[in-house]
Amino acid sequence: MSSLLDQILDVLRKAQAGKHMAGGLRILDWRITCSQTQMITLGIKNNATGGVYSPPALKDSEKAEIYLIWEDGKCSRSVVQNPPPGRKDYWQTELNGWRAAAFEDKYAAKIPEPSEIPDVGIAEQKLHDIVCRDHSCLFEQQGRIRADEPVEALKNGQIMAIWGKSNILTSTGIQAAFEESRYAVSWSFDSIVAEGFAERRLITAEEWLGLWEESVCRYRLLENQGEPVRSATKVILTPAVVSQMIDQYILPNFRGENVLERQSRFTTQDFSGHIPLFDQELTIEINPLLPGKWASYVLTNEGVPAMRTELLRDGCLETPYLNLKDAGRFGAGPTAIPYSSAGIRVKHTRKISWKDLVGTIEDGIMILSVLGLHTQNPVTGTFSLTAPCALRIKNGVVAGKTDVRINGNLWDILRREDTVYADHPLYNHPYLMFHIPPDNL
Amino acid sequence: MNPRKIRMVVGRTAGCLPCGYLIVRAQARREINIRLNNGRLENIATSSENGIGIQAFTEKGACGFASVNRISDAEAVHTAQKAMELAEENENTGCELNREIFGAPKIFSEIPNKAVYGFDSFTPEELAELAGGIHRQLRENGSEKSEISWQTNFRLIEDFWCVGRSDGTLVSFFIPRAVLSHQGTVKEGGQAQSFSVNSSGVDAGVLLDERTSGALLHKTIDKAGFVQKVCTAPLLPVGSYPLLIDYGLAKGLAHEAFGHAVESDLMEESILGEVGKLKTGLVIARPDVDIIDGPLEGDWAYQPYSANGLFRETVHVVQNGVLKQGLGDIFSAAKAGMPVTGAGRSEYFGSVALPRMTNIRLVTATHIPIPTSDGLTEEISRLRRGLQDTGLLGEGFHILLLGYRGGQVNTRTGDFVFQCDGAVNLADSKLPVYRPGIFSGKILSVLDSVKLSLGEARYDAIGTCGKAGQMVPSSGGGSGYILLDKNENVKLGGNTVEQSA
Repeated sequence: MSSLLDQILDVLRKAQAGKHMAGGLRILDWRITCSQTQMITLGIKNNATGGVYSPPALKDSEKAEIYLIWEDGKCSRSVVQNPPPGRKDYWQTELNGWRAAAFEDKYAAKIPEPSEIPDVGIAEQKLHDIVCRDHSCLFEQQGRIRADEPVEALKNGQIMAIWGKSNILTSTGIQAAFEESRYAVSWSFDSIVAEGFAERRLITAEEWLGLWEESVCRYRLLENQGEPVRSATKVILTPAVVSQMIDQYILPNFRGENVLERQSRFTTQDFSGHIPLFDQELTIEINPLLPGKWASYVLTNEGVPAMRTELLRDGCLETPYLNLKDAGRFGAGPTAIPYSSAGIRVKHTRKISWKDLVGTIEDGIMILSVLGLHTQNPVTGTFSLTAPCALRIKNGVVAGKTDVRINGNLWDILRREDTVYADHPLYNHPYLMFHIPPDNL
Repeated sequence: MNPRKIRMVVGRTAGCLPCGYLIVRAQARREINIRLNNGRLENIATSSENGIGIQAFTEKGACGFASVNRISDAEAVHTAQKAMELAEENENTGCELNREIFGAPKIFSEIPNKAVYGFDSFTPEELAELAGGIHRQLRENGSEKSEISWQTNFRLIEDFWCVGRSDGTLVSFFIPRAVLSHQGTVKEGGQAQSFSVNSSGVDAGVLLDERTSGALLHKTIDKAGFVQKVCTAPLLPVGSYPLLIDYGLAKGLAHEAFGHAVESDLMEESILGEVGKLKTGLVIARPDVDIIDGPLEGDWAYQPYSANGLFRETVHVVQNGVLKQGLGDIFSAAKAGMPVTGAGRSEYFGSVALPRMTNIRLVTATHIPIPTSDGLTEEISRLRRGLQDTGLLGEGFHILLLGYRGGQVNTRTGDFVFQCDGAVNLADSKLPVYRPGIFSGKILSVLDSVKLSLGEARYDAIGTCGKAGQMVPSSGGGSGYILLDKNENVKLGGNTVEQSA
């Protein structure tokens, strides 16, 4: 049997030519996004490698997302996979099913025209070899997580490597085929300290060492009791918490559909007016063109080439992120799509290095993780969170553990000029330091 | 692929290797999603996915897993071989060994689809028309007072699972699910809040029932009115209060604070464990408080057999205030000092099974009946009267919490949190509304505060549990509104900085 892509192409071309019809109608235009993926995962649970809950696992999948525009203007959207063996009428049945689920949407009835496809480094050959040939290096990494200091900690961890091939084809002439890879590793000690790395490339030895030492250092420091916080204590969010904040607040509020449907903190007028709502030195962008980054891509699922998009420039709203449909409704072109918090870059003109900042903090509390962020109100930006894993900083020295509750508002934090943004070479998002009085738990 | 053929493939594959042991798990899933936004049909998406996942064990008990999203004899056997190769490679690296599955009881069962309306009884177009009519009614009735953005979602799912094992076990079951939900984003007085209300069942009957009864519509309009008040309400000051929580929050409390802490794979680091064993016999609540987990037919989180092919039992986690039983799967129950209760669940065929909850409920023997009310405002008044008449109403503050918005737990530290839509002070005859901060507490002390329940028992609060990154349906509730005494280890609130939306 031919590949899934070939089978779908065959049925769609016939449906376009009127050789196959559903409900007496032809297909006018179509888009296929087909992906073949192989993934290997290894894990550690409660210090044991490869146990029943985290065995080495190989996952193989091939599926396609299809989008159709029928001759009466209606659209269909479906996810399909290889047909079961021996089903000769399978694709005609599917075609009938797609037609039965067709709906009218004048904004969505659009397939992009071909345009120049950027060259973005999203596949690393080393990962192909690991996934498809020899994954012994992943077993070695798994062994290191188990054996390295701190040996007394209860460790959990996961390693994942993915290799895939994608094809995006449209009736308008887009024919893109590309390979892609992904790698992620994460570990935790006593379910208190966690660290991780996720990119489209393998971690380097230096990155592994840097992240491991950082997590061990925090784990050791948490053994000490820190002083209670005071009203003057500054709050520092680590990049991991900033990443969660982006997921909870930035992504939903900058999503085109949410803006258009009044389900966002921002209105369409806020964007057209370029009103300065935030710190004028702050820029937030999506940049899928960066090589090797987790959220980088060549084309969106809809076939729109990757581009850099500023959501916020110099404190002013620029644009929500827009797929083809929302772009039509918004009266603009499509933009880059972030897919996850990893796709968002936070830039500040006065960004300093974390190493330089930490020595200057006289009285601070560094929040390593929070509980319940996903339950907070994304529109207002408010949060009221317990942080059972936080480290006290006194006179530039990270000291011991203090349990706190933090209450604040992310929009306010991003508006304030005294919020400090600090970079660390191992993380994609900055540390954020601001002053909102924390409470002792 | 039809279920009979899937059973045959699974049965044959489970016995395809000459040594070791296989758990073969196949799934065939179909789904229709319909989304309406402020009067427009936003999307109809359909999907169907079949696949097979195989966990292979060497004779010594090392395991490997492989999956593929195609079901055929050839693919299944190839996948089994890959899983066994990984198991052997794993064994050579000194992995943790587990032979518990070799002693599992053999089971043979076939549970048919019990949905009244089959997945294909209505076309997507007909379903969209039904959902559209319901959405129109909502918009006509729900935008009187202020700017509310409305979204309606309908999901229809047919999940077929088949589990086979090398010992000849072969079980299969359908899990039909449907949910209709309304989501509102209220903007009032410069503030904004979103909320959702849903109704679940097993088939398109959910839409037909709603078209006839309008029950979800009334609930949604009531809730919108409440959330409008919450938007402009003051924040509840940080503190500990006597509380009354609704059945959704009771589910959240039971799920976050207790369910996860008694799952057998988490016992080594759970605050309810000691040296890796469940602290059975620990007095954790007043003598008439129970926490029960188990599948309820027709429920959103229903699952009659575990993902490893064992019967899913109903478990008394807490009985008469005493920690009694955990949620044990075949692999870690013995190690965790608890019986096997068939608690293993998988998100999809490509996921390894983990001990999970199904429907968890908080039940008190002491119960105060409250007459059924037509609306939320009346219900709140009746709750106040019920507490007043029985001398249970606190002075100053007695906080009613409404609308579960999700939660999280750290089973090691014993900290849990959850969030709700809004709060009402029942101690004040004017029944003022507050914006609540996060509800946080300690597992070991919160249940001690549970006193009794009031009003109608409800066990259909639904959600999704994301343990270890696997999203599975969860549900539960309480034997009514649950009354909790003031407890210094349970706190509400936060001095959130005000910010207009």
